[in-house]
Amino acid sequence: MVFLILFLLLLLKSNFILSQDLISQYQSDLSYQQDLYNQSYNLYLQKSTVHQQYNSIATEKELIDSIKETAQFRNSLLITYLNLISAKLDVYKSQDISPNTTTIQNVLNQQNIWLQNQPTKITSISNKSQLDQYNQQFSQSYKQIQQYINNALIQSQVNHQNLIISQIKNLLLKIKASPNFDSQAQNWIVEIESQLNDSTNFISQALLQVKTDSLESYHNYSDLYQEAKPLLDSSKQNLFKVIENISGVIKKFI
Amino acid sequence: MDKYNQNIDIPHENITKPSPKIPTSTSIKKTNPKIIALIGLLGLGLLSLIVASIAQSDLPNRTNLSSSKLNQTSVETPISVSDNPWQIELNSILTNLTSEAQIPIISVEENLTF
Repeated sequence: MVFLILFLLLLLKSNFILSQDLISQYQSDLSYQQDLYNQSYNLYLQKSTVHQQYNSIATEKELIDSIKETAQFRNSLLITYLNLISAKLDVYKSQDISPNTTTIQNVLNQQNIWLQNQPTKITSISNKSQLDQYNQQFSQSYKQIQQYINNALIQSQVNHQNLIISQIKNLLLKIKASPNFDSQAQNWIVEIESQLNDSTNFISQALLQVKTDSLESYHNYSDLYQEAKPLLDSSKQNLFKVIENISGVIKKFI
Repeated sequence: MDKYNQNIDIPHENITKPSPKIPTSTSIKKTNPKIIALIGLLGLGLLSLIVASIAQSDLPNRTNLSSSKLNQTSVETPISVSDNPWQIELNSILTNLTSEAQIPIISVEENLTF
């Protein structure tokens, strides 16, 4: 039985290390893909200026080729980005008792598959009308991608902070069980628990910005994260204060 | 005169010649006094280092002793806060909170047109 528990613990630990390695790999991939996309996008802007100036068949062809190349790099960049987000969500997924994290990951995986099927479609584009058609398709999918990226940015931080809160609560239970824990220490702990509740409230408010419902009512999804970010920051600052106060209790009473 | 001559006329074999000084120890003669002085200084330095380290290692005990005399209630050596298992656990939580890298935000051009 003991061996089984040890084996499971080792398995969990190794999974955590593997996911951390995967995250590092995706982060360096993302940086590389971002560079390629930026270079290609700058070239596209140059070709666009040249075409506006000369408006010839030759400059149009060059511009279409440049757009196709940039679209391919954009595709690769988004695939890497979605991989990174999904891996990051995996790390603290166990902290989410709601189905949010799983829903976000499922939608991002669907979009990832959609993106992986795009290179052949991009390659087949040969004129402006095909390009416009492709842009419309991409816009529709990109709206959902943006929505779920913003959901993931919020949910990932919420899950991480929930883990910290859970670890702090466990530590407080141990401190309360100490023989040196007297009524004065009890008062301090009550205050600390109240502070910890403030963080939980901030997190609950931030979670209201996670939108897994229909797309129609939202247009700018980055605003959702911008609204959630100050709440998440406040919660984090509050957790720093909680940790500092617990340290004070340990020094004074334990 | 004969009397004096008798004294002078000593048989040649009986005259004891002063024996030449033979060095008893060749190493003493070869060793440079400067090296001896240097070794001596090094020895003294080492000795003073040992004495100093012993004195320093003894200092906390003596301080504790004096503090225990001043404050009769605390006899045991106080446990450092950093060694407290709960403080260690708290430090680990703090590291978790600070070290978490957030997902970067990237944006791409949605509409690549003419």
